[in-house]
Amino acid sequence: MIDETRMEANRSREMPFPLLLAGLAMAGLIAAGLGLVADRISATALSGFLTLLSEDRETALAILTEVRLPRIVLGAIVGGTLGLSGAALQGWLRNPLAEPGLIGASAAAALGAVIAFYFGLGSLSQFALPAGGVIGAMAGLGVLLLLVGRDPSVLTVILAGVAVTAFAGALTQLALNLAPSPYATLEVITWLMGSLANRSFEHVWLALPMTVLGWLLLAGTGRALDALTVGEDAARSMGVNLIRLRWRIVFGVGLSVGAAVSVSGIIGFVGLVIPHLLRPLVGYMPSRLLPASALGGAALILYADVLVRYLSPGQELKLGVVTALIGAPFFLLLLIEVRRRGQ
Amino acid sequence: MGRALPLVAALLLLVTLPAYAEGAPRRVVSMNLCTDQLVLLLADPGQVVSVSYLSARPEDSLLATRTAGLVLNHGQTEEVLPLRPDLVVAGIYTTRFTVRILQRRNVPVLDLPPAENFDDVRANIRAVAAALGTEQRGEALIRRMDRRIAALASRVEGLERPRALIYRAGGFTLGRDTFAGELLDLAGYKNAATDYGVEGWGAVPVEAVLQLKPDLLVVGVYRDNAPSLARDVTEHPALRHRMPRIVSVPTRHWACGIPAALDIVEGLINRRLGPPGGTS
Repeated sequence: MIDETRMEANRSREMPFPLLLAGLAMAGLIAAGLGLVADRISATALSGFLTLLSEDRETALAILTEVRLPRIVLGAIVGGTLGLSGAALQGWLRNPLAEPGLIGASAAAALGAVIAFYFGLGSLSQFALPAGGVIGAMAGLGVLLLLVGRDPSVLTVILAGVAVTAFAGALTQLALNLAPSPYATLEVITWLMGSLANRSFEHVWLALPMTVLGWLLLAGTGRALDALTVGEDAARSMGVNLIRLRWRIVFGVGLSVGAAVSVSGIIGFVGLVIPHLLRPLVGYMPSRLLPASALGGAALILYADVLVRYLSPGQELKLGVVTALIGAPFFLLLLIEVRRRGQ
Repeated sequence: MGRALPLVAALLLLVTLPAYAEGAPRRVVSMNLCTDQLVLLLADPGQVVSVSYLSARPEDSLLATRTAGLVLNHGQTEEVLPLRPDLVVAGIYTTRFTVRILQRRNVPVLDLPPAENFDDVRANIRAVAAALGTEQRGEALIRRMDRRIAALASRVEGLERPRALIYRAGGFTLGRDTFAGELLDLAGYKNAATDYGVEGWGAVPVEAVLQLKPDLLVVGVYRDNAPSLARDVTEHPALRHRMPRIVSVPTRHWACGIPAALDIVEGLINRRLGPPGGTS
């Protein structure tokens, strides 16, 4: 067995699972509440809104339900997707640095969404936008798996992810430059750093079907990922079909991340930070980490979205800036940790 | 052949006998969409060599059909210099680098500020006409424009002034101190951007538009409304549900201070809320 004392230490940090989920959900709800009551989180914005609520109830409710609520719902969907995908990818690749942004899935999804959106495929079907994101994400994952081949070591996966991200990012900028809309070139930052500004329930309905399908596929991988923690051979002997697991993960991540990125742009590091922070709290069990990371990711995005509106009302900071400010130093710490353990 | 050429040239010269004065520029290059349109309106045939590429696009320019046969430039020095221009017309906020090089090489450059009201339009028309040597054509253009302004103003005189908000891609509005704001005023509307503290150019979030409750939302449509995230702002469902009236105006009509911008005013007056004299 593995180091007994370490297992003990791990178990001591473990929280009662239902309590953890409830706590994460509560954190997300508080962030959602903050996002609903004020466009800027300040006393004047809040009192201004309360005045409006008493003087012009109809407009106040329209602002709540048609402008702020979709933004929050979308934030929860995107954050949940990124947290869940990060947890699934880390469990499947047994790679602490795997997450949709770092392995290139998000960048490839943005490329697909940009092509579908700016070149008028939306006139064929509204769902061209999320479909473009999904096809992009799947293609990105496919290229990644080809590049990695039979050597899914921590470093190979990350380097292949860097290659996919760089190439997809360049093609995204090229596509935006060639797009018929004169605004397209100015919107590259929104696609590469992510934003929830000016999103409506139309975007929620566009993204939701494919993300939910992806969630369902990923949610079913918990038992197999638990088995995988003790190694591929052991997992196989426990009846886990590794090929089927791979397809579930690829389709689950492709569908959910593809559709989410198509309505929010690339928001990095959520899938990296959240599973890591929560892993000790769920006793290192991937099956429990999946739902916890989904809730945690949603909460993180909602707080980040409150923060961008507070820091820079009007000319909003992009969401990916906040998550990268938190995530990049975290990534560095993890890298040091991985190297230390490797020696 | 060698002898026939000067003869042909002389004949051509007779056919297109120039109306411009002696010493007027004959190789005019314009490098800005708005100055292009003034130059095309005021120049004699054959006086213009090149305009900016935007002017040839019908989605950007009202005079795209008049650019046939002209060299289309992108405001680059290496495009303009080989044309040996004897007058270059530019906007004061664009192609600055090229203008500096041209001036250093002693090419005459006329820099025009963008028009923010009809006085600016008149001044710009006079400046271009003077530089081209077509002053009479300029004065005639101004007289026609002023007659049309007076006619339009009389149509809304004494009527109630509903509140209108100009809303452009990305959630930007134009206040009273802009050319589009002047057009809105002439059409008999109060500019709702004033109630949000915007007199020039400024951003108005969707939820602020809901609170402003304008009687009319004038959505500026740029380049045939090709999809973009910026366009999504003006198409937010909350606006569609809550705004009593929305009209779309192609922004090529108000982007530049030229007399044709009055077409917008005419369209807006035709769509006035109430019947003449009535209460809306």
